[in-house]
Order: sequence, then C-alpha cells, then structure tokens
Amino acid sequence: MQFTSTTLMAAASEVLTGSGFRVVPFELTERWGTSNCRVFEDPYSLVAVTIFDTWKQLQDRWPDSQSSLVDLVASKLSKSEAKAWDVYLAVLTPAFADTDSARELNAIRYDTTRVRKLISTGEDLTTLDGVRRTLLPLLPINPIALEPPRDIFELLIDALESKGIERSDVRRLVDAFASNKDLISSLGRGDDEA
Amino acid sequence: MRLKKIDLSGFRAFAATTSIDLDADCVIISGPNGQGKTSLLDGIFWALTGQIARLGPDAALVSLYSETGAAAATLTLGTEQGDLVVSRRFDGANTTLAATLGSAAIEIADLRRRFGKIVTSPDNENADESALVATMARSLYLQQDAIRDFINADSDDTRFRIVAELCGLGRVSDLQAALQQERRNWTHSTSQVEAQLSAKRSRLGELRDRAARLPSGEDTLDKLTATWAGWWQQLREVVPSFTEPVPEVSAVTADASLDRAVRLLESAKLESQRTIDSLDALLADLSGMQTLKSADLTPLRKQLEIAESEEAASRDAFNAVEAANLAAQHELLLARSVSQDLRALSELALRHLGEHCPVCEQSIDIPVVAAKLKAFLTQTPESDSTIRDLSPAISDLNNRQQRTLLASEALRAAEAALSRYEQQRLDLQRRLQSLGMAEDELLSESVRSMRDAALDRVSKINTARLQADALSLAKAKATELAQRAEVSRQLLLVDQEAVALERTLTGRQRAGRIATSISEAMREAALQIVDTELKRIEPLLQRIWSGIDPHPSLRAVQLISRLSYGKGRLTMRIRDDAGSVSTESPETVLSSSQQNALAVALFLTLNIGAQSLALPSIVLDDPFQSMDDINLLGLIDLLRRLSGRRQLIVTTHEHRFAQLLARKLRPIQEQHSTKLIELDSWDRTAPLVRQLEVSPDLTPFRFVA
Repeated sequence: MQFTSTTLMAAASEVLTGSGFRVVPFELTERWGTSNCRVFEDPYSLVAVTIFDTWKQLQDRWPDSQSSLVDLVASKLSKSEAKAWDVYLAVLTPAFADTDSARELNAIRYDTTRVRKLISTGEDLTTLDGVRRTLLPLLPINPIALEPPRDIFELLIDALESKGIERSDVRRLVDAFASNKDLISSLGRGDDEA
Repeated sequence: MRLKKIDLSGFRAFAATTSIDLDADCVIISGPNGQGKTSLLDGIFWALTGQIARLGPDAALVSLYSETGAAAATLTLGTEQGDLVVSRRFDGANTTLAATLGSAAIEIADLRRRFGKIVTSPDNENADESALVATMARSLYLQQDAIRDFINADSDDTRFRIVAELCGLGRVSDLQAALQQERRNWTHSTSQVEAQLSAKRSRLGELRDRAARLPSGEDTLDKLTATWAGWWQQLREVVPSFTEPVPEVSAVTADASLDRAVRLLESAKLESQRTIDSLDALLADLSGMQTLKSADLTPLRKQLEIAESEEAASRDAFNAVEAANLAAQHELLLARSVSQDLRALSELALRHLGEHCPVCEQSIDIPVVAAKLKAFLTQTPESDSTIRDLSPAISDLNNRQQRTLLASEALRAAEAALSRYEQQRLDLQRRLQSLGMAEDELLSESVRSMRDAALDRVSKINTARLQADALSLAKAKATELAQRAEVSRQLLLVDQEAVALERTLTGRQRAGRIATSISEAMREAALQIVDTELKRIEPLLQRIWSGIDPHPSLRAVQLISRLSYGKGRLTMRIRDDAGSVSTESPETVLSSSQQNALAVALFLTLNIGAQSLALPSIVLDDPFQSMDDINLLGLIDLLRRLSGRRQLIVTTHEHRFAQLLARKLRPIQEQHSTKLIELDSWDRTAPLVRQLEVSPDLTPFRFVA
C-alpha cells in the first residue's frame, strides 16, 4: 500500500509525540523549501521530518532540508552545546526509489556529517509501521518492546498445566517451596482438603 | 542498587592501590590501549564473581608489579539499606571473600538472600556457581575479547542454560532438585508404609486363621470354678503330701499347676502300684518260706567225714601198692641192665675170645668160656611178676573220691539252702520294716489288707486322673473362647489400623505420582518457560537489533529453543524482513562487525529482559570496535534509551567516541549524572586517573516552550 505524504507525516508525528517529542512551532520552519516538514524536540535531540512526494524530489532537495535544519539549530544552540550535535533529519518519500538508487540511498544514510539522516522510501513504507521503524533510533525502548516479566513460578504453573498436571497441585508445590515446607507432603494435602 | 566505587590493588594494571568513583548513572571510561580500562572492568567483575574465565586462575590476575604478590578488589554498591562493600582478595595461594552492609559484616549467603545472586559464593567451583558466572558474563559484563562468545563459542545447550538462568529458571532448578531429593526420601518412606501395611495384612491373616481355629460358644471359666475347687480337694485326699495352694481357675499358672498335679497323681499311682507289687511278692515269699525250714546239717557233715576218711584209707592203700610196684620195677630195671651189660660183654668177649684173658692173662678154656658166654646171650630176661595190678586200688580210690564229692555237694546244697532261708528272713524283716509291719502270726492278713488299701488308692487316683483330663479340656476350651474374644478384638483393631495405613499409602502414592509427573514434566516445562520468555523478550531483541541496524535486509532476529537428547538448546535465527530467507548460522552470513552488533544486541536484550539479573548494570568493554558510523550511532542511541533503566559503564579507546558518548549520555535531569574517567600515563604501578563530571543539560527543551 502506498501512503500519501500527509499520512506519512501524520504517522511520524504520532510516533514521535507518543515517544516524548514535542512539536517545534511551525513558524520556525516556514521558510524551509518544503511544506511537508515538521520539527520535533525531546530532551536529548532535535529531529526534522521531511516528506517528499517523489524520489526525485528527495534526491534533489534533501540537502536543502539539512541546511535549513542546521540553521535552525544554530539559531538556538551554540556549537559547544551537546544538543547541537544531537540532530536528526528523517527523510521520507512514499514513492519507490529507482532501481539503481541503492548506492545513493546508502550514501545519504551513511553521511553523518552535520546531522544524521534517517531515510526511507516506498519500499520501506508499505505499512505505517515502516514510519516507526525509520524513526527507531529516536524512540525509547520503554514501553514498546518489553512486557514486564511474570513470576517464574507462575510461568511454571502454566507450563505444567499445559502438560496435563493439575494447576492446584503445582500451586501447592510452589507454595510449599516458597515456605520452605515439605514438598510432596503438600501434594498429598490435596486429598485431605478434598 | 548501583556500583559506587571500585578499589583495586595489585590487580592487573593496578599494582598500586587505586580508587575509582563509579557513582553515576553513566560512567564513560576512556584511554588509549593498555592503560587499564579492561583491568578496571575486570576488577569489578572479579569482585562480584571471583572468576575471569579468559584469564584463568586468580594467580594470573596479580599484577606483575604488585609489591605484596597479592591482588585485591573492593567494590562498593549503593543499596536502599546502605552501602554494600564486597572485598575479594587473592594472597598468592588462597582467595577470600568478605562483605559488609553498612558497618556490619554480612554472610555471603545472607547477602544473596537479601539482594539476589549478585555475588558468587566463595565455593565457586560447583556447577551452579559456574553457571551463574557464565550467565553474568553474558548479561552483565560484555568483555571485549569475548564479545561474540554467545554467538560463536557457546554451544547450543550452554546458551540455553544461560538464558534459562536469566529467565529465573535457577529457582525452578532449585525446586526440581529439592523435589528430586524429596522423591527419593518419599519413595523410601512409602516403601516403609507399604511394608507396615503388608505386615498388618499378614497379621490380619494370622488373626483370621487363628479365629477360625478357635471354638465358638458360651462356656466361660467362671462355670468351671466349682468343679475346679472340688477336684483339688479330691487331690488332697488322694495325695495327702500335696500342700500347695490351689490356683484360681483363671490364673495364668492354672494349667501348669494342673499339669503338675496330674504328674503328682501319676507318681502316687506308681508308688501305690509298686507297693502292691511289693506286697504281692511278700505274700508269695511268705508262703514259700513256710515250706522252707531251717535244716540240720550235722548228719551231712558226718557223712562227709566218713567219706573223706574212707577216701584217705583208700588212698593210703593205693599209695602202698604203688610204692611196692615202684620198688619192684626198680629192681627189675637193675637186673635188666646187668643182663644187658653181660650180653654186651659176652658179645665182645666172644668176638675177642683168645687163649688168654686180656686182663689177667690167665689161660682160657675157650669152649667152656664160649659156652658160658653164649649162655649169657641166650639167657631169658627177668620177669616183672612181682609188680602188682593197681586197678583195683585205683577203682576203689575213685569210688571213695566220688562219695566224698557227693557228700560235699550235699552239704554245700544244704548250706546254701540254709543261707537262702536266712537271707529271705532278713529280707522279709527289712520289707516288713519298710511297710511298717511287724512280723507276727497275722502277717499275711496284714499284708493282704495293705494291698487292698493300695488298690483302692490306685482306683481313686485313676478316677482323679480322668477328672483332671476333663477339667483340663474344659478349661482349655474356655480359655480358647476367651482367646477368640481377644482375637476378635485384635482383628478389629488391626483392621482399623490397616485401613488407616491403606489410606495413608494411597495418599502417599498419589502424591508420589504427582511429584513424579511434575518432576518428569519439568524439563519440558523449563523449555516452555524459556520459550515463553524468549517470546517475551523477542520484541526487545528485535527493537535493539533494529536500533543498531547493522544489516540492510537481515533485520529480524529470533531465539529458538528446543529439547534435544534431554537437553535444552538455544539457537539464533536471523531472517530477511520479507521472511523469505533465514539462517541459524549467523556467523556464515554476517560480517565480523555485524556479528559484533548482533552480540551486543543479544547482550543488551538479556540484560534488560532478564528476570533474575540482580544487579541493574550494563558493563561494556569497548563494544564499538569495528562498527561503522551508523551502527555505532545506533548503539549509542540505544544506550541512551537504556540509561534510565540501568547503570551504564562503557569503555572506549577512542577519545572522540568518549566525547560523543559524553554528549549523547549527558544527564538531562538534576538527579542524574554522567562521569567521564580518563586513564593514561600508566607507569607500572597504575594509570593516571582523571575523573570528570559531565555537565548536565538542565534546559532540555530549547525550541519548544
């Protein structure tokens, strides 16, 4: 599925704002060469998301976006400030790149001068998750990637239940173990309780 | 909890005692190669685990320039309960471990109970502790020289064990070990219960058999009491010598007493019968003695004298005749001898007869002399007509001797008869004396009377004996009835006990079966848990791997667990985004730096995702080697996102990386801190340590209000 630039921007905005980024006032980017551009800031970094409608546009105009971003940074931060070096340019296009564009894509990606570039074309943006994956270096690990661990003995009870062992029996065993009591005796108590 | 300080002495690059402040959320350690960065991290790890596997035994950790020949590392950790100080020291021979919490010493076991397994026990040679060290090496401290061990060097089952340990399966293993131990004891105890039940059932069988053999009825010992007492009274009458007290019919000794009484009766009967026999013999002797009177031996003696006298005379006569005959024989022999000599001389003279005598030389008339000599030769021998015949004398003598012998025998017979008579009289007197009787004219009547009395006694004894049999039998039956009642009571009791034991055994067997099922299922359950946990942390692994972004297409990573030959095994699969290609041998498709990136991703995943990691720290020894700029930036961005969850300690040999890290990991809140430690100018004792605090950025938002 090929998304529109508007959709991509909306997706990027949702991802970033949902990860602690705040939208930089639009007036700061009014004079940039493209209308489909938005800047976000979090405590660590500054990221500009620029959506180009075509691969050609991206090829031709991403440096302008970079320059604009650098100017924006310079307007507020001095070179000695750490945040001045923590700047990202996310360059996206819903269009598919030309077949012989892999080298140029990599060249853009690996060009770490001035700002780091995060780049994706239509091949990577067939789903909205592609936007998230493009912005991955900027996103926190919490809360996306990790469910809290369950107690190991709860996992054991589930696992043994799947092997046909009564949940209540394993529960008694685990409780006895935790209480430093006799284990097998606790299993026998099931009959008594019944 | 977090690391606050490390003091090293004699340890690798730190020969001199050096103290390094680690109390910050992020600690960046930089310095050229050989200045002690790895030694510093090794010191932290050794203080916790006592092992640096890649370096070998503790002796290898001692600095060549150590003045004492000892190595020591003291690590201070900040906890909610105060500073925990762990000190490990190797003196060249032995390694000691001590810990304090606050100002008080704390046992290592207690430390682990309170804070988890952040420190290995002093006995770190056993398998569990070695597994813990390996786990910590794969999830807490990523060593520069071992960065790819988890991917390349570790076997599938080692990887599984490490992940299992991190998933918290160590506790499950403890449960399994405890269950296994209890199963052994349980089985033994259950066998004992089985044996008890078997013994009870056997006892039940015995009791049932016994009950079947015992009679049923209503006779009781009480009903025998009168008969019992009467019999004993009868006994006293029949055997007056019985003076023992009469036992109660229900007494334990009653049967034995009755048996002894019966023997007494038998003995009395025997005595009576002997008396009867004696009296019968006495009576017979008495009648015999009347015909045998005392005999007069004088005539027989006289006869013997006469016979002997006659014998002597006959002998004398014989001797005289014999003597005469002997003399006559002697004369005859002499004459015959002379005659023989003369004949012999005559023969000689005749042979040598000459005209003159050879002796006196007288002239000899030869014919005359010859005729005389011949007359000697033809002379008839002398006769024995004077010898008398002894036969008559011998015959007479024999007759006399025979008469003497007969007379002697007659006398001896009479004397013997007399002696017998006397003996019988003595014997009679003795027997009468023993019977208490006097020898008088009414003796026979008395004897008969006594005999009758003895017969009567025997009869009474026989009657009592028969009564004793009946009494004994009746008592035995009554006793058996009482026994039957007791056996029935015991049957009931033992049956109840058997039922209770059966119930206990059933419960124990059921519990044992459940325990066995659980124990047997635990291995697969462990695999399932690891699987579940891997699925839980897989998104994290994916997130981290994607964040580093080392490969253009192989962007999906999976950890796959399975059970093989009874062991859990863990492999990694990387695959293309589209899922069309994949491999479980990443080393064959990834470059060296890509493998490093994967190793770092796995390390961070295990660290963040692990349930059981007790120390919330990440220690990385120069993880950026051979990474390209994008991978490096991606990793640093990741570390930044992790710094809120973990205390981060990272080294780098490149100054610019250190500066980059300082910028990227700068504190953005007042309560956070980042330290930069620079090591250089190492001079055989220790490097020069400069510690800088990275300035916080307390105005994080510069473009947004």
